Amino acid sequence: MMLSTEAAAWLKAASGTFTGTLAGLAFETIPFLLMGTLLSALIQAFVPDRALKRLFPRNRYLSILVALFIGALVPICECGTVPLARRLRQKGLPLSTAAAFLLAAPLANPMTVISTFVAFRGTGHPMFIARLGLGLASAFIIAIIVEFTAGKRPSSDIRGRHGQAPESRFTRLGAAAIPAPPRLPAQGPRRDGGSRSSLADRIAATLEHASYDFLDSGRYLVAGITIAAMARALIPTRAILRSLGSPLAATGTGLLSAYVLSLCSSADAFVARSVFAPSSYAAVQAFLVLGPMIDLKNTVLLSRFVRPRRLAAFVAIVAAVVGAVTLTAGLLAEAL
Amino acid sequence: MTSLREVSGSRLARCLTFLTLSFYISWLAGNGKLAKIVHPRMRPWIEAAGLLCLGLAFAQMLWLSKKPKRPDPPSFFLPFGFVLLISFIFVQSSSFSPSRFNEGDDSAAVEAAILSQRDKVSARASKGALPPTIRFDDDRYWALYNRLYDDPAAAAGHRVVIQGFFHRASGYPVDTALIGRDLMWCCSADMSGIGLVARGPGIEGFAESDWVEASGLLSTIEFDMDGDGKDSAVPLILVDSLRRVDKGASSSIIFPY
Repeated sequence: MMLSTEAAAWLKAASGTFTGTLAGLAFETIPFLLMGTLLSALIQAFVPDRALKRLFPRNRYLSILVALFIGALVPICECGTVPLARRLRQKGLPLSTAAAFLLAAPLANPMTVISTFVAFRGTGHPMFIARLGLGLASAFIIAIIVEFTAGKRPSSDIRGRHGQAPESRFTRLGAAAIPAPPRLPAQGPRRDGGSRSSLADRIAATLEHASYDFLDSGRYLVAGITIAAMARALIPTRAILRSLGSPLAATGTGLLSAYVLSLCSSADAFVARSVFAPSSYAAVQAFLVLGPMIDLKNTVLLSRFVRPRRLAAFVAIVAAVVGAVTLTAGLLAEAL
Repeated sequence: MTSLREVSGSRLARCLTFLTLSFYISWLAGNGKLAKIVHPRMRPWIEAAGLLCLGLAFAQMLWLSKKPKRPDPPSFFLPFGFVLLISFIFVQSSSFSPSRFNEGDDSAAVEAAILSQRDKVSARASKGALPPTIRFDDDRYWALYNRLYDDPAAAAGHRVVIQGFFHRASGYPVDTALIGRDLMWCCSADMSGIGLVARGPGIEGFAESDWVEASGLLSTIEFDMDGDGKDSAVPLILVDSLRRVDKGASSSIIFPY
């Protein structure tokens, strides 16, 4: 009887956690996914490929830096950046540039920076500067890795008809990160956004793109949110967070918890401050830097477009780079 | 005029999905239930998304006869229905969330987590002498909460009046409970309970998540809040009055900023 009472209490708490987490994550992310798909559709319909390419330097490394800078100006969280990054890729930008944008935008956008500042003010740690610096450094390194693994072919060479990259050409790791969107149904309003389209055609194309992309991506986002909510309800997160030991273990814990919790980048700073010991600098940084870049719900969202093995490799590289950067910074901070 | 035979099932499903999303958001925003899911600062974004959904529904309505080359699979629509259903269940429930981020522990661990969030709110709240009777109003709840946990001894002997959810974890003594509310930083995914420990006769007569008002004198108890074997002083209400009250306009959720 005692056991059944405890089991009922646990079940009630777990179901409450599940429904609350799912509702919260859904209403935090779905508006941004919708806005991301709309922005993406606007770029598709109204911004010619050449104009977008002119915005980014030909030099791949400078192009990555520009993508990092532009990412910092876009007030959209990680779910909204996926369709935008896909569109950049489709418009012919290098994979490394699109990857840099995908990784940097949720981390460096104004909302994230301000919320991190608010969360850690009064602690004596300029955490928002550290997060921004370490995050952008990590994104740059990952984009460079993508650049090397994807090769130096011009993006136009690896795109097929309609500006789409055939899945079969994605033979390298970098290509796995930002594939082009699937071909849309041919009927209905015009979607090509070509220069001869009338304004009405372009608006129609924008709405059609946004509708299709939102519904198509949304199902994966919901699946990711559901898995994240189940993980939150079933995995003893607090026990994981409390298992901090050496800086290496602390960094690993920070990475793991950021991935599993799948929090919005505008709120994760408050959670980081509440659940990690203030002295665990490495864990806090790992948590704050990895979460916006990749997490459980985003992995499922990306799985719509990326084969599992390549996605797993991408996630592993992001985690490894972020882990190495934040661990090094943490050790340096403790030494000073 | 499009006849029924010409209507594309996919277009119709898209239209209904966007319309449902839009109306559901309007319903949540209209009756205040949105604040149970997300922080009020998110409201403009969500309302904008609702309007956008309405626009997309209208666009699909215009193209009802234009069938896509391939029909949309049910997986385009069902996940959104699932989200709406779960969120509807959540907003209709009125339970306290003391154990969020706290699986398997009692509420002490949540308290420990919240305690480490002290920021300048505490410093601001600590200015001025505490009144003889401390009332936990909605807009001062977070500040008073921090002040009392910062220095429980300073408040000892003061009378406190606090409204909130009634919560008693399985490990609590029979005469001990927590009176608290939910704290939300961003959305219900990060919600956790904050409150004061209450002790007194008659506590066993209340049910979990009852909305109650407790009144009594403040004292302190030594408690292992961090779970590290070290006791520290936390505020305790020696309850002399505990009753169910109408929640009225009181907010069950505290927004720290």
